[in-house]
Amino acid sequence: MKKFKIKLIPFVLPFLVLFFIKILLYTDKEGDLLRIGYIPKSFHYKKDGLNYSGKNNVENISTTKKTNFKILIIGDSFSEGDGSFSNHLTKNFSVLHIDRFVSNNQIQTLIDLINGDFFDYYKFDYVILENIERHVIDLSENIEFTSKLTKHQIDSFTNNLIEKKSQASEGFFAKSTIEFPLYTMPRFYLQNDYLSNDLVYKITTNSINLFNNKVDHLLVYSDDISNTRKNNNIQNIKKLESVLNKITEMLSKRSAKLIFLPVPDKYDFYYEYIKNKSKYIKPLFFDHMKRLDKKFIYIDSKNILTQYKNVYKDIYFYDDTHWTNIASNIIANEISMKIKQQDILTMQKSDNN
Amino acid sequence: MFFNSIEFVFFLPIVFFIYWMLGKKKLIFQNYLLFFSSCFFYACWDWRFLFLLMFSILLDYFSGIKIFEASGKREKYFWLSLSIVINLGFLFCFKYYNFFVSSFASALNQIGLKANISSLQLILPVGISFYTFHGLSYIIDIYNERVYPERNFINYAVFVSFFPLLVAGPIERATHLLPQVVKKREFNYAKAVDGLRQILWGLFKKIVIADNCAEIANLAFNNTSEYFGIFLILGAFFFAFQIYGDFSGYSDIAIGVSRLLGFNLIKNFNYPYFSRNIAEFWRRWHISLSSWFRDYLYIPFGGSKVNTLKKIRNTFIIFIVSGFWHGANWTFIIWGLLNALYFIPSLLAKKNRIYLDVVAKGRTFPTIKEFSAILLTFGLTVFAWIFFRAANIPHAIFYIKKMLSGLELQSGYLKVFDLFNEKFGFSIVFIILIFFSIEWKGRENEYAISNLGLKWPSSVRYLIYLLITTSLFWYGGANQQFIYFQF
Repeated sequence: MKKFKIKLIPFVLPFLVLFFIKILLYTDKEGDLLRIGYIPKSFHYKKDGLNYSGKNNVENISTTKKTNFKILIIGDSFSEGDGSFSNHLTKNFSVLHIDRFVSNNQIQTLIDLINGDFFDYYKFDYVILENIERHVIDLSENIEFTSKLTKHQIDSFTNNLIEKKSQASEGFFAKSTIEFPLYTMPRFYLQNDYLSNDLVYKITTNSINLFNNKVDHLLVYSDDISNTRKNNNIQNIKKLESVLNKITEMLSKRSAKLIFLPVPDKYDFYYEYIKNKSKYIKPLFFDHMKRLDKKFIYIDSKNILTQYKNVYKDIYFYDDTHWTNIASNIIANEISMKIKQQDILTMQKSDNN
Repeated sequence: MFFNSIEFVFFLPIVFFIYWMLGKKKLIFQNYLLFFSSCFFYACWDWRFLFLLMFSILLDYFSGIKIFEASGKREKYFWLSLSIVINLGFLFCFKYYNFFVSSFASALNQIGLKANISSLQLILPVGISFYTFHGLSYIIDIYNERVYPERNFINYAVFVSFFPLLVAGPIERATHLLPQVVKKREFNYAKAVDGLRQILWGLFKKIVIADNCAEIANLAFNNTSEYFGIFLILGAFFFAFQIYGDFSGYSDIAIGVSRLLGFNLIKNFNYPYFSRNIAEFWRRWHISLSSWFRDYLYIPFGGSKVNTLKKIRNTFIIFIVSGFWHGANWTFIIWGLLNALYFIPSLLAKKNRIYLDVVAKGRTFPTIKEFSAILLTFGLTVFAWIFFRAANIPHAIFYIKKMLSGLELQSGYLKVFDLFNEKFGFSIVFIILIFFSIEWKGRENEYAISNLGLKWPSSVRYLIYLLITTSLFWYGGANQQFIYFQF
């Protein structure tokens, strides 16, 4: 038995030690950037006040029984959840949200809904189309303006939805058990300006006041950077703008107005703080969007949030691709103001008529 | 508690070390430990199912004694029937009631009648099919006077609930396992090391082969409408690799763990994908189940010692029941039926027992004839697996139709190349080839790596074990549930 134990230990003990290091320092329960990039968690990063802990008053298409709403929201993960701008908007307006399982391309889905019977069944004054900057150009390509999506099809998606079980935490026998302690973790502490795991960049910054843990680096998703060149192309942006203008016309026939809300990538938002910019292309998406002739209501979220950069830390989470409750509250207030201004304009117009 | 979970990594050494410490004292301490640790193991799945398991153990324990002590054949038969009816009754309730109810309602709908039948909202207890058959074989063997009843309750309980085989077999026989339970086990270094090697190989099959093949198979079967032609053919092949890696891997781990504790379990898989015909395949695949059906169903019906029509009838009964055992879905029945249709020709031609030895024994390569036979048998098996994996019969038919369409289109092949290039990587194909080469090389052994490197220097051998262990982590993380846990 002694011989057995002695021979077994070298095979088992090293992996157990690596596993313990992993469970101590790696988490798949916190920011998405930590999880996908195999980044060690920061013990100094506090999230108190950065998440919203109130009730979610947004109605979802999969569960609502109502048909009249002030706002319809169709978007990605930024439009979902308790701390989203969608929920903050419910303080002043009734809001319906299209669940994300309905489609991966929100621009196409909105067109399909307009062409179908969805807007016969539901009534809205405003439609907010929200997309993260890194995907918005891709989503506006190959748009089909004649396809339809009916309410019946949406009901069918809802009824047949098999709830995805939340992904099990990475267990003992996982690549992260050896890769994290032996490679990605030492790299994080010893290296600057690199790409971890092919998915997450760690970029040195010239400020330690971006987040409450006072770090001198920024974690960003690799797609933010890899899509910059495409998103900077003025022709692509003009194409997006023409698609959105067409949607505006289509919606006006349905008595609704389009509000377009692009969300800046974390990379774009914090670009000015990157220490060594020579390796990183400057994002120009929002600069180009500003100058175009838009028929829709445009929320320049980057410009709005930039005004608060020196007021608040943690406008985005340090360890996540998403913005915090601070940002979503600011954006919701801005949207509310725009809607109220628009309502006044509309009333004045109808009074004049 | 999965075999590849961190909980089991702690559970097993604790049980192992206490077990052998107690082994220096009395046998009964070892058996008490096995019983309570098995209860704990099972309760980790769902503690409520423990009551059902205990009930089944108590029922068969008392029935066994009653059958043995019965004064006449009628009384014997009564206790046998009682045990069978109650055991199968529970199995029916948990596993098949909803299936029969919905099939009946569907049949009534077809003729324009509406049925208002409610279904039971029951979760299927893990391993119920396995331990039910375990207990039934004990009762039937007592009735047939092949074995004496075990009067020590703990000993009998260990026989049924022994944790390595509790949730997914092998389905042991009282004649084989019970004598080992009642005999004191001594620690044997060579046996323990051999057990560890088998556990390692079982984990490799499950984590590296099965879980990674599952990603491709799941993509094909869960999104059939989005793919066609060659990708769906590959999907079916990868499912074949998945189910073999998964189930035989589990069996290897179960057998290896048992060896660590001084037990020898029956072999459950004997390189089935190297079979030269379907009859040989069924002598090599899930041996404990197919032999159970042979001994307790096929032979009592007359087996092969009856006329041709009855032989065919018996064959159909066995394969359809075997399909049904796997689950309450028409797809499993069709799978069983297909295998019966594959088997009948060799039965009628009296070629069902011609390949009793391993293929190409003592040779490195098979002959062209043997290789062709292996490929044909494997192809037939893969086709049948489509029904096993599909959600329902329309899905299986849809899968087959789409699989056979677009084979002439270059775009189909390019799509497969892109998928492997971007999503899965080509290393999995390379690993499967290495895996089957090792399996082929080791096909005459208990398990593929049992003799691997035994004649090499120990440093080289340990390096190979370390490489295999590292691959478990490197290719791990896909985390699919063992397929046979759902049965």
